[in-house]
Amino acid sequence: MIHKLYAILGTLALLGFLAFQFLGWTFVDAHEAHDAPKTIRDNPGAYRAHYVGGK
Amino acid sequence: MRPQAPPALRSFQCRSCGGNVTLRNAAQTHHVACEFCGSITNAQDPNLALIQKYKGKLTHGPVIQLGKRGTIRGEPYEMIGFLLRTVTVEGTDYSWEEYLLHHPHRGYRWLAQYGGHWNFIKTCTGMPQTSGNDAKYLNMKFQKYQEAEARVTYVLGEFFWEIRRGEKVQMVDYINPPYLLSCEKSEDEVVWSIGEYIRPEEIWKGFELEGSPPGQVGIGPSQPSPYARTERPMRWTFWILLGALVLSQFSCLVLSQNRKVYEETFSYSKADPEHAKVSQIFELAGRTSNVKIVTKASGLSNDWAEIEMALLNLDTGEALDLTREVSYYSGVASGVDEGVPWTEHWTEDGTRDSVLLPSVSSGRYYLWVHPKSASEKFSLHLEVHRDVPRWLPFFLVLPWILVPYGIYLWRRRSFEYRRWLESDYPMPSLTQLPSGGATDDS
Repeated sequence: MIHKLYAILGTLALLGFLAFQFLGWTFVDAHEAHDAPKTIRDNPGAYRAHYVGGK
Repeated sequence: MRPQAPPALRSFQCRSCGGNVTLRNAAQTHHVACEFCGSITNAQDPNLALIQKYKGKLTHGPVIQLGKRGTIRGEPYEMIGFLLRTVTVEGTDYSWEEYLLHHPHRGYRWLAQYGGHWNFIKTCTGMPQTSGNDAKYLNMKFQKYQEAEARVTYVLGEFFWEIRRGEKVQMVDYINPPYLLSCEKSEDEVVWSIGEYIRPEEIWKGFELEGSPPGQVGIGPSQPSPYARTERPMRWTFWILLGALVLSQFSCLVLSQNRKVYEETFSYSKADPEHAKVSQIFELAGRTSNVKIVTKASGLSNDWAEIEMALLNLDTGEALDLTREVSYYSGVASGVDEGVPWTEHWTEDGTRDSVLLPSVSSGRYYLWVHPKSASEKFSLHLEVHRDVPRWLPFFLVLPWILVPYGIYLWRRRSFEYRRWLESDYPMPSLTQLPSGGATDDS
């Protein structure tokens, strides 16, 4: 019984590992923003109004 | 096996106390101890000579009464004799019970009990081989557990040999749980017997004893380890999981793109009217994966810069905002230590920073960079790497595989450690099994 629990725990850990590796998960808190205006490349300063930040 | 004669009941009056002594297996009984006074009579003597009179009180009652019939391992037995053997170790007496059982066809068997742990024992039909602290019998390897001189201190019922209180034998016990191999050496003979651990509940049920078995003390020498069954599947599971993890990590290292997709250097001056800048457009190809942004600052002098950054998808307008910091401080420290002046140059170099962004899908991207600093002039070198292999997940997951198996091993060895505590050969520490380690693989 205990080896089955261990196998389940280990498999979940492995799946987590694969998700971390292949989906690129990290613990970095990068803030996701949407609909950035397409004019930013012409006027970089305009993005300051959209910038939310994050560490 | 040649059938034995059916038991012949016979009784006589004890010459010591006058009590009625019943012989349940008169044909084979050599000596019998009166169940009322404990005096021993020669049952083979026509005159029933009194061999040994017992002056003490009968204080020790067997849990299985003389004459009680029951079933052990599917076979019917009758309890016909009971004795206590005692060893003295460092001035302390340790006693265990032995119950002599009789089966009309299979002959004699023993039930031995110490500390609530029971063994079902029979005489060996072959001669075990001994070598050092090991013994071999029936293709099983046994390890020596203890050796002591045992004496009979209490006796009731009938026996097929000339038994006397005070009779001494040199006993050596070997174990390979759930089996116990025991050697009894007396002046006249050497008797080997093999036993198997039996749960007390099985005895209580087989002999229909009242109540429940008393609690057990410690770990019995031949008590099967609760970890014995799971030892092999646990070991296999551990190696499979570890192998899968290592293989996955290796695959990630091999399959990751780990490609630098962009680099550019931006120069900043306090006098610039606009500090926000955008990078060139670069392509992030392949599956959804991480992106590493490396920032290297130069020109900072005793100052720091806060860098607001965004990774923007040119096509969708989605952005990932983040803020990083770089700094560089240096100076000279000086003082006097025990009259000796000293000077030391120091630096705190935090000019390099890297950040890993998660799950960035493929597409065309550019960086928006907006540094804030009091420095008059400095530059930022930015690099973007795609699909960077990482060791962090490996080391995060590794404990989830190692720790449970480590705890399991520790508990298994702790069990063995406690088993061997009572032995003449205790394990030196919890981290080392005795050589041969046959205890769990029996």
